[in-house]
Amino acid sequence: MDYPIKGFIETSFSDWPGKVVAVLFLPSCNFRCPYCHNHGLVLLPEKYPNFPLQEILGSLRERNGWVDGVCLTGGEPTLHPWLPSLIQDLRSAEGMDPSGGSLGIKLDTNGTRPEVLQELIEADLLDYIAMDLKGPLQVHRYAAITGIPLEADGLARIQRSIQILLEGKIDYEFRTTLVPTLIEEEEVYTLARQIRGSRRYTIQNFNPRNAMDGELQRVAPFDDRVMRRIQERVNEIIKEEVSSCQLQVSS
Amino acid sequence: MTLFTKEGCEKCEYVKKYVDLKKLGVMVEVLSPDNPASLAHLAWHELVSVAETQLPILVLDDNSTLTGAIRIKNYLTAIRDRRSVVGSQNEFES
Repeated sequence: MDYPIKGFIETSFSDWPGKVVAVLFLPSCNFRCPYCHNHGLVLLPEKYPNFPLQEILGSLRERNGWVDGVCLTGGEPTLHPWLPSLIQDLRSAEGMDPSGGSLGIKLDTNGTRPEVLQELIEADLLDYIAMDLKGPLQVHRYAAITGIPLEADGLARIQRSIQILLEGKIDYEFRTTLVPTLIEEEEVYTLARQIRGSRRYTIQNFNPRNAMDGELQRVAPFDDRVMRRIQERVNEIIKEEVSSCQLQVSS
Repeated sequence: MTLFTKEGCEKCEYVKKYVDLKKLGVMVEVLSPDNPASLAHLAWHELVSVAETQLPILVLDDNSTLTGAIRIKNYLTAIRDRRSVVGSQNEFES
Protein backbone atom coordinates (compact mmCIF):
# COMPACT_ATOMS: atom_id res chain seq x y z
CA MET A 1 0.00 0.00 0.00
CA ASP A 2 1.20 3.51 -0.79
CA TYR A 3 0.92 6.11 1.94
CA PRO A 4 1.05 9.90 1.59
CA ILE A 5 4.43 10.26 3.29
CA LYS A 6 5.41 13.85 2.60
CA GLY A 7 8.92 14.07 4.00
CA PHE A 8 11.78 11.77 4.88
CA ILE A 9 14.98 12.30 6.86
CA GLU A 10 17.30 9.33 6.47
CA THR A 11 19.07 9.65 9.82
CA SER A 12 18.37 11.81 12.84
CA PHE A 13 20.25 11.76 16.14
CA SER A 14 17.91 14.13 17.97
CA ASP A 15 14.42 12.69 17.60
CA TRP A 16 14.57 9.70 19.95
CA PRO A 17 16.84 9.91 23.01
CA GLY A 18 19.79 7.54 22.56
CA LYS A 19 18.74 6.24 19.16
CA VAL A 20 19.48 6.87 15.50
CA VAL A 21 16.24 7.07 13.59
CA ALA A 22 14.74 7.86 10.23
CA VAL A 23 11.95 10.43 10.29
CA LEU A 24 8.76 10.22 8.24
CA PHE A 25 6.57 13.30 7.94
CA LEU A 26 2.84 12.63 7.60
CA PRO A 27 0.40 15.25 6.31
CA SER A 28 -2.37 17.33 7.91
CA CYS A 29 -3.01 18.51 11.43
CA ASN A 30 -6.02 19.45 13.54
CA PHE A 31 -4.09 22.26 15.24
CA ARG A 32 -2.98 25.58 13.77
CA CYS A 33 -0.17 26.49 16.15
CA PRO A 34 1.10 29.92 15.08
CA TYR A 35 4.71 28.87 15.69
CA CYS A 36 4.45 25.69 13.58
CA HIS A 37 7.51 25.45 11.33
CA ASN A 38 6.10 22.61 9.19
CA HIS A 39 2.97 24.48 8.17
CA GLY A 40 3.29 23.35 4.56
CA LEU A 41 2.39 19.88 5.81
CA VAL A 42 -0.56 21.31 7.69
CA LEU A 43 -2.04 23.76 5.20
CA LEU A 44 -1.06 22.45 1.77
CA PRO A 45 -0.03 18.80 2.09
CA GLU A 46 -1.16 18.00 -1.46
CA LYS A 47 1.53 20.37 -2.73
CA TYR A 48 4.23 17.88 -1.75
CA PRO A 49 4.96 14.65 -3.60
CA ASN A 50 4.67 11.36 -1.78
CA PHE A 51 7.79 9.45 -0.79
CA PRO A 52 7.02 5.84 -1.83
CA LEU A 53 7.36 3.47 1.10
CA GLN A 54 9.39 1.01 -0.95
CA GLU A 55 11.96 3.72 -1.69
CA ILE A 56 12.15 4.57 2.00
CA LEU A 57 12.57 0.93 2.96
CA GLY A 58 15.31 0.61 0.34
CA SER A 59 17.12 3.54 1.87
CA LEU A 60 16.74 2.05 5.36
CA ARG A 61 18.13 -1.28 4.18
CA GLU A 62 21.23 0.55 2.94
CA ARG A 63 21.70 1.65 6.56
CA ASN A 64 21.03 -1.79 7.93
CA GLY A 65 22.27 -1.99 11.51
CA TRP A 66 22.74 1.78 11.82
CA VAL A 67 19.15 2.92 12.11
CA ASP A 68 17.39 1.82 15.29
CA GLY A 69 13.94 2.90 14.35
CA VAL A 70 11.54 5.27 12.65
CA CYS A 71 10.00 8.43 14.04
CA LEU A 72 6.52 9.19 12.72
CA THR A 73 5.83 12.88 12.91
CA GLY A 74 3.80 15.47 11.06
CA GLY A 75 1.43 17.06 10.97
CA GLU A 76 -0.53 14.88 13.35
CA PRO A 77 0.02 11.20 12.51
CA THR A 78 -2.94 9.90 14.56
CA LEU A 79 -5.44 11.56 12.19
CA HIS A 80 -4.86 8.87 9.58
CA PRO A 81 -6.80 5.61 9.65
CA TRP A 82 -3.92 3.92 7.81
CA LEU A 83 -1.39 4.70 10.56
CA PRO A 84 -1.54 1.17 12.10
CA SER A 85 -1.08 -0.33 8.64
CA LEU A 86 1.95 1.86 7.95
CA ILE A 87 3.52 0.86 11.26
CA GLN A 88 2.86 -2.82 10.55
CA ASP A 89 4.52 -2.44 7.12
CA LEU A 90 7.55 -0.78 8.74
CA ARG A 91 7.68 -3.39 11.50
CA SER A 92 7.46 -6.34 9.11
CA ALA A 93 9.99 -5.02 6.58
CA GLU A 94 12.79 -7.53 6.17
CA GLY A 95 16.49 -6.87 6.12
CA MET A 96 16.47 -3.98 8.57
CA ASP A 97 18.35 -5.40 11.50
CA PRO A 98 21.21 -7.92 11.49
CA SER A 99 19.92 -9.43 14.73
CA GLY A 100 16.60 -10.20 13.09
CA GLY A 101 14.63 -7.68 15.11
CA SER A 102 12.25 -5.11 13.71
CA LEU A 103 12.50 -1.33 13.57
CA GLY A 104 11.52 0.57 16.70
CA ILE A 105 8.63 2.98 16.23
CA LYS A 106 8.39 6.39 17.83
CA LEU A 107 5.23 8.46 17.45
CA ASP A 108 4.99 12.24 17.80
CA THR A 109 1.49 13.37 18.72
CA ASN A 110 -0.52 16.29 20.00
CA GLY A 111 -2.66 13.93 22.07
CA THR A 112 -6.03 14.79 20.55
CA ARG A 113 -6.73 11.15 19.60
CA PRO A 114 -6.34 9.16 22.84
CA GLU A 115 -8.29 6.23 21.39
CA VAL A 116 -5.66 5.87 18.65
CA LEU A 117 -2.85 5.93 21.18
CA GLN A 118 -4.63 3.30 23.24
CA GLU A 119 -5.22 1.11 20.20
CA LEU A 120 -1.61 1.36 19.02
CA ILE A 121 -0.23 0.62 22.49
CA GLU A 122 -2.52 -2.37 22.97
CA ALA A 123 -1.55 -3.71 19.54
CA ASP A 124 2.11 -3.40 20.57
CA LEU A 125 2.81 -1.15 17.57
CA LEU A 126 4.70 1.58 19.41
CA ASP A 127 7.94 1.73 21.38
CA TYR A 128 8.01 5.41 22.29
CA ILE A 129 5.59 8.32 22.29
CA ALA A 130 6.46 12.00 22.41
CA MET A 131 3.40 14.06 23.23
CA ASP A 132 3.29 17.82 22.93
CA LEU A 133 1.80 19.79 25.78
CA LYS A 134 1.09 23.01 23.96
CA GLY A 135 0.33 25.08 27.02
CA PRO A 136 -1.53 25.28 30.33
CA LEU A 137 -4.36 22.75 30.59
CA GLN A 138 -7.11 25.36 30.42
CA VAL A 139 -9.50 25.51 27.49
CA HIS A 140 -8.97 29.18 26.62
CA ARG A 141 -5.17 28.99 26.92
CA TYR A 142 -4.88 25.78 24.95
CA ALA A 143 -7.17 27.18 22.25
CA ALA A 144 -5.12 30.37 21.98
CA ILE A 145 -1.84 28.51 21.63
CA THR A 146 -3.10 25.87 19.19
CA GLY A 147 -5.07 28.32 17.05
CA ILE A 148 -8.33 26.36 17.06
CA PRO A 149 -11.64 26.70 18.94
CA LEU A 150 -10.85 23.92 21.39
CA GLU A 151 -13.84 23.00 23.59
CA ALA A 152 -13.85 21.38 27.02
CA ASP A 153 -14.22 18.00 25.30
CA GLY A 154 -11.07 18.68 23.28
CA LEU A 155 -9.07 19.42 26.41
CA ALA A 156 -10.48 16.33 28.08
CA ARG A 157 -9.19 14.22 25.20
CA ILE A 158 -5.71 15.67 25.64
CA GLN A 159 -5.90 14.96 29.37
CA ARG A 160 -6.89 11.37 28.60
CA SER A 161 -3.82 11.00 26.38
CA ILE A 162 -1.63 12.38 29.17
CA GLN A 163 -3.08 9.82 31.54
CA ILE A 164 -2.49 7.00 29.02
CA LEU A 165 1.19 7.93 28.84
CA LEU A 166 1.50 8.31 32.61
CA GLU A 167 0.31 4.73 33.00
CA GLY A 168 3.73 3.90 31.60
CA LYS A 169 2.93 0.89 29.44
CA ILE A 170 5.54 2.11 26.96
CA ASP A 171 8.33 4.66 27.17
CA TYR A 172 7.36 8.27 26.54
CA GLU A 173 8.14 11.94 26.98
CA PHE A 174 6.11 15.11 27.16
CA ARG A 175 7.34 18.18 25.32
CA THR A 176 6.53 21.86 25.37
CA THR A 177 7.82 24.46 22.94
CA LEU A 178 8.54 27.72 24.72
CA VAL A 179 7.36 30.63 22.58
CA PRO A 180 8.15 33.87 24.42
CA THR A 181 4.93 35.66 23.48
CA LEU A 182 2.64 32.66 24.00
CA ILE A 183 3.61 30.90 27.21
CA GLU A 184 4.97 32.08 30.54
CA GLU A 185 7.80 30.37 32.38
CA GLU A 186 5.62 29.88 35.45
CA GLU A 187 2.98 28.14 33.31
CA VAL A 188 5.59 25.55 32.34
CA TYR A 189 6.23 24.79 36.02
CA THR A 190 2.49 24.42 36.57
CA LEU A 191 2.38 21.93 33.71
CA ALA A 192 5.35 20.08 35.19
CA ARG A 193 3.51 19.82 38.54
CA GLN A 194 0.45 18.45 36.77
CA ILE A 195 2.48 15.61 35.24
CA ARG A 196 4.67 15.04 38.30
CA GLY A 197 6.13 11.56 38.31
CA SER A 198 6.36 11.39 34.53
CA ARG A 199 9.50 9.94 32.99
CA ARG A 200 10.59 12.86 30.86
CA TYR A 201 9.43 16.40 30.17
CA THR A 202 11.47 18.12 27.48
CA ILE A 203 11.39 21.87 27.06
CA GLN A 204 12.10 22.93 23.48
CA ASN A 205 13.15 26.36 22.35
CA PHE A 206 11.03 28.19 19.81
CA ASN A 207 12.48 28.37 16.30
CA PRO A 208 11.30 31.57 14.59
CA ARG A 209 12.51 30.49 11.17
CA ASN A 210 9.55 29.61 8.98
CA ALA A 211 6.95 30.08 11.75
CA MET A 212 3.42 29.94 10.33
CA ASP A 213 2.53 33.32 11.83
CA GLY A 214 4.85 35.81 10.13
CA GLU A 215 4.77 38.03 13.21
CA LEU A 216 6.48 35.29 15.21
CA GLN A 217 9.35 35.21 12.74
CA ARG A 218 10.47 38.47 14.35
CA VAL A 219 10.29 37.14 17.90
CA ALA A 220 13.60 36.19 19.47
CA PRO A 221 13.74 32.73 21.05
CA PHE A 222 14.78 32.26 24.67
CA ASP A 223 18.44 32.47 25.56
CA ASP A 224 20.12 29.04 25.86
CA ARG A 225 21.04 29.68 29.50
CA VAL A 226 17.41 30.46 30.32
CA MET A 227 16.33 27.27 28.56
CA ARG A 228 18.80 25.21 30.59
CA ARG A 229 17.60 26.76 33.84
CA ILE A 230 13.95 26.09 33.00
CA GLN A 231 14.74 22.50 31.99
CA GLU A 232 16.61 21.91 35.25
CA ARG A 233 13.71 23.27 37.31
CA VAL A 234 11.24 21.14 35.31
CA ASN A 235 13.37 18.04 35.91
CA GLU A 236 13.32 18.73 39.65
CA ILE A 237 9.54 19.13 39.69
CA ILE A 238 8.68 15.96 37.80
CA LYS A 239 11.02 13.94 40.03
CA GLU A 240 9.26 15.04 43.21
CA GLU A 241 7.68 12.18 45.12
CA VAL A 242 4.14 11.23 44.15
CA SER A 243 2.00 8.46 45.57
CA SER A 244 0.66 7.52 42.14
CA CYS A 245 1.51 8.80 38.70
CA GLN A 246 -1.67 10.61 37.66
CA LEU A 247 -2.51 13.83 35.92
CA GLN A 248 -2.98 16.49 38.60
CA VAL A 249 -5.82 18.50 37.09
CA SER A 250 -6.52 20.56 40.19
CA SER A 251 -3.09 22.27 40.26
CA MET B 1 29.06 7.83 -15.46
CA THR B 2 30.11 8.62 -18.99
CA LEU B 3 27.92 8.70 -22.08
CA PHE B 4 29.78 8.20 -25.35
CA THR B 5 28.03 9.90 -28.25
CA LYS B 6 28.84 11.38 -31.65
CA GLU B 7 27.56 14.21 -33.80
CA GLY B 8 24.52 13.38 -35.93
CA CYS B 9 23.56 10.35 -33.83
CA GLU B 10 19.77 10.34 -33.48
CA LYS B 11 19.77 7.81 -30.65
CA CYS B 12 22.28 9.94 -28.75
CA GLU B 13 20.02 12.96 -29.18
CA TYR B 14 17.07 10.90 -27.95
CA VAL B 15 18.81 10.19 -24.64
CA LYS B 16 19.94 13.81 -24.28
CA LYS B 17 16.40 15.01 -24.97
CA TYR B 18 14.77 12.91 -22.26
CA VAL B 19 17.35 13.02 -19.50
CA ASP B 20 19.08 15.94 -17.80
CA LEU B 21 22.57 14.42 -18.03
CA LYS B 22 24.27 17.32 -16.32
CA LYS B 23 21.97 17.10 -13.31
CA LEU B 24 22.70 13.39 -12.97
CA GLY B 25 26.44 13.99 -13.20
CA VAL B 26 26.82 12.12 -16.49
CA MET B 27 29.89 13.23 -18.44
CA VAL B 28 29.27 13.35 -22.19
CA GLU B 29 32.12 12.39 -24.53
CA VAL B 30 31.52 13.36 -28.16
CA LEU B 31 33.58 10.98 -30.27
CA SER B 32 35.25 12.54 -33.25
CA PRO B 33 38.59 12.36 -35.10
CA ASP B 34 39.13 15.94 -33.90
CA ASN B 35 38.79 14.84 -30.28
CA PRO B 36 41.61 12.35 -29.64
CA ALA B 37 41.04 12.51 -25.87
CA SER B 38 37.54 11.10 -26.30
CA LEU B 39 38.87 8.29 -28.49
CA ALA B 40 41.54 7.49 -25.92
CA HIS B 41 38.90 7.43 -23.22
CA LEU B 42 36.83 5.05 -25.35
CA ALA B 43 39.85 2.82 -25.90
CA TRP B 44 40.67 2.81 -22.21
CA HIS B 45 37.23 1.28 -21.59
CA GLU B 46 37.93 -1.22 -24.45
CA LEU B 47 34.82 -0.06 -26.27
CA VAL B 48 36.20 0.92 -29.68
CA SER B 49 34.71 -2.03 -31.50
CA VAL B 50 31.39 -1.63 -29.66
CA ALA B 51 31.21 2.03 -30.61
CA GLU B 52 31.65 1.15 -34.28
CA THR B 53 28.17 -0.45 -34.26
CA GLN B 54 26.37 0.89 -31.20
CA LEU B 55 26.05 4.42 -29.90
CA PRO B 56 25.33 5.81 -27.43
CA ILE B 57 27.18 3.83 -24.78
CA LEU B 58 26.76 4.51 -21.11
CA VAL B 59 29.67 3.54 -18.85
CA LEU B 60 28.53 3.17 -15.26
CA ASP B 61 30.55 3.96 -12.16
CA ASP B 62 31.48 0.29 -11.75
CA ASN B 63 32.79 0.28 -15.37
CA SER B 64 29.97 -1.89 -16.65
CA THR B 65 28.27 -0.66 -19.82
CA LEU B 66 24.80 -0.14 -21.15
CA THR B 67 23.88 0.21 -24.81
CA GLY B 68 20.61 0.95 -26.56
CA ALA B 69 19.04 4.39 -26.33
CA ILE B 70 15.84 3.23 -24.68
CA ARG B 71 17.65 1.10 -22.09
CA ILE B 72 19.98 3.98 -21.28
CA LYS B 73 17.11 6.43 -21.03
CA ASN B 74 15.11 4.11 -18.77
CA TYR B 75 18.13 3.47 -16.55
CA LEU B 76 18.93 7.16 -16.13
CA THR B 77 15.28 8.07 -15.63
CA ALA B 78 15.04 5.52 -12.84
CA ILE B 79 18.10 7.02 -11.16
CA ARG B 80 16.67 10.50 -11.55
CA ASP B 81 13.33 9.48 -9.99
CA ARG B 82 15.05 7.70 -7.13
CA ARG B 83 17.17 10.75 -6.39
CA SER B 84 14.19 13.04 -6.52
CA VAL B 85 12.37 10.88 -3.99
CA VAL B 86 14.88 9.60 -1.47
CA GLY B 87 17.83 11.85 -1.99
CA SER B 88 15.97 15.08 -2.26
CA GLN B 89 16.22 17.81 0.32
CA ASN B 90 13.59 17.19 2.93
CA GLU B 91 11.47 20.30 3.33
CA PHE B 92 10.40 19.72 6.88
CA GLU B 93 12.06 19.87 10.28
CA SER B 94 11.63 17.39 13.07
